[in-house]
Amino acid sequence: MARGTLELPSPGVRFAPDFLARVGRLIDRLASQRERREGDGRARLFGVGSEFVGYRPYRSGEDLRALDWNLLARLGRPFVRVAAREASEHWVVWLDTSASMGVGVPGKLQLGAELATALAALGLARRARVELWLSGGARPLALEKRVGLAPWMRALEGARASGRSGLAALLARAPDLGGAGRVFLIGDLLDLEPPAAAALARPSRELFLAQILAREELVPAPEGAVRWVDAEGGGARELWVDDAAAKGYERRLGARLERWRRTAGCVRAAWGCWTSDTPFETLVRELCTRAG
Amino acid sequence: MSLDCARPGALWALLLPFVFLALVRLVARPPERATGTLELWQELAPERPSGARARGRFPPWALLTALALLCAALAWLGPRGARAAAPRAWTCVVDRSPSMGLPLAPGAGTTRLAAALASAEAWLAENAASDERVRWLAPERAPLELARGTRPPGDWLEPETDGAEPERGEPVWERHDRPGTLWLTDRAPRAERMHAGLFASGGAAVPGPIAADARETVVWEDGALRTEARPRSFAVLVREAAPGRLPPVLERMLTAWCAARGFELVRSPRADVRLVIEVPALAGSAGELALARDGWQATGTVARRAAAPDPAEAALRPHEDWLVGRAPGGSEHAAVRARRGHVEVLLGALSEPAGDPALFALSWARLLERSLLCAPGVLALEERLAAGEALVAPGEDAAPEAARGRDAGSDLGPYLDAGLALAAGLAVAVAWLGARATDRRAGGRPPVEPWRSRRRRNQ
Repeated sequence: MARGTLELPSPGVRFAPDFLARVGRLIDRLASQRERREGDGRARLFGVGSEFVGYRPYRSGEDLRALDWNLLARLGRPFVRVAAREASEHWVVWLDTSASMGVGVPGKLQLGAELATALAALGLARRARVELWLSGGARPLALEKRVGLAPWMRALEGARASGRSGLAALLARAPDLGGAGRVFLIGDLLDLEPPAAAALARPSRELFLAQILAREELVPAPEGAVRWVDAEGGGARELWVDDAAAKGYERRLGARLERWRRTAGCVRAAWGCWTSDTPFETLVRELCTRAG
Repeated sequence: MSLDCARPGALWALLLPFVFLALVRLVARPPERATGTLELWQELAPERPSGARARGRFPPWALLTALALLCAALAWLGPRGARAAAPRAWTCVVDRSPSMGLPLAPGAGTTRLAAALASAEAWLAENAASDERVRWLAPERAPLELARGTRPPGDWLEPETDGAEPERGEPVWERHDRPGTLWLTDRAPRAERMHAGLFASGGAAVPGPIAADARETVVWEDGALRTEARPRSFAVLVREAAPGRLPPVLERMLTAWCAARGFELVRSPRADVRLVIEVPALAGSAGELALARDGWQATGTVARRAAAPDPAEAALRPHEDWLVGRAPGGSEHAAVRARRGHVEVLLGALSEPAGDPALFALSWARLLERSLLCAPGVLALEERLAAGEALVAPGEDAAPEAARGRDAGSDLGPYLDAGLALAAGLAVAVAWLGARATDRRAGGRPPVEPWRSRRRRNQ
């Protein structure tokens, strides 16, 4: 390659000074929303402790021990009692730190790290034990108390988007997930096939797939000649990007995203795709509001 | 349609768009973008130009900027349309003064007119296209439009022979001072020349008679005048529509004047006729009118000519109303008209003049003297003087206006320049907006809807 390796635009992570304050405000808002909504009897994902919060229809394959037999006798339809998660719930966050996460401004890794930290803070608030697995091969970082947030953030600020090891590399450690009740996959999911990720889903486990792409990856601008360089050193291609080329690219990417959407739907996993310049609060709110 | 430009010095500016595109090609290498989706671009590559082909194309903003530069360069140049397809019309104005008929030098075979014509024709042969036309103008001659290289007929070009009134054959030069106009004369006119070309034959002095009557001739020779007793036969012709049409009082006065001047009064054409008194057939009398001039009064009947004169002749050599009859109602009718060599009497009858008969005779004698043609071979002294050296001065803008695009295209030139400048501005604005739109496209279009997949809610 005549021009050598390309410097990634955003290879690292830097938390803003007010980041934790933003996370705190976000958790407070989510808590107040939860309190306002509990009255309607609908179950909430991020409930606290083991308190009863409502019923929901029984779904095929669910543990029959959760079935409310009294309601079944009275109404003739199966309902499941929904309780807030136990304090001992185990959350696992997988974060892609491969070189492709250094693309975009702000970088995909930056948003991934912010999302992972916000989820960790949320998990702490829900008395869950949160583990962070980085695809770069570092040992998992466990978080059980709020004082652990500082080392967590330091670990993330020390991470660099580099190498080729993405979430696909973490799949080999899937057996280590054990009884994790919630698993979050955060990355661009470009090295991962949807069925491989879907295999992580269990009846007793909720799977979240947060796909983060740089804006120019999601909607390329028709700006003429562009030399596209693979962030992970997989080559380069010079192309004339006009409207037709951009639309062709978007068509192909759209097909790939559609595969993710359909596969996630099949295993009742939550999947979404955001650009790397989306505020992390938006992603967390989407999770809290939408997830079952 | 050929093109001319108002500011040829700005021709180099036409290179600017090409220089700009060359710089864009050299300097603006395609930007490098890191991506995690190279695989998708590679899938697309077979359908799209790549490598050198990609570099060979210019982004729209660069093309628009080049277009703006081109428009600006054209506006600076000031393109002007010149209708080259339409033949240019040259104009040759010929001096028909009597001096133009004199030899270029005593004893020379060629005349001043022939020399001036040859000079102008040689210049036209070099400077006018073969398909271009030449309009020939001369005093008392109908305009002619001929192909370049074709000379008007000899009788059209023939100089005036009446040497008593040399200015009659000289054009009013000021009226013909235009680009594309050539003045053909023997000496530089006094008129100021701004645009027309001048082709003067020059010529040496030509001694000879400068005045003559029936008995004596005045000759200019060696710078001095001398009088020769040279009897000549001159005649005054009375041309009547019917015998006896000339009023008797006029007949008597005419007879007396001819006798005093040594002229013979005749009623049939002769070679030595120097004045024609014409009494045409009349139609439609205007009744009895009061006639008065130079202190005499009379009454008479006046009528129109039964046959209209040749309009071309009348236009070229118009008569002057010398005597006008006034009707009781105040209307006026021409009774006697005159021009050089010709007096036209439109009187049906004329009473004896009242008052002093000498006043009547003197008045008519002045008319007859003024209308007499000069004797053959007699030229005014100023005609015989040397005309100096030959002179050819086509002038900087001697070519017709059409040749330099000063037709309708030149009138629209400033508007065309303004339009091109406006187009350049618009192109720059569109290039800038287009570049901004390209930048914004990624940021402005809504991305894929987040959370395309939602877990079914618990009911």
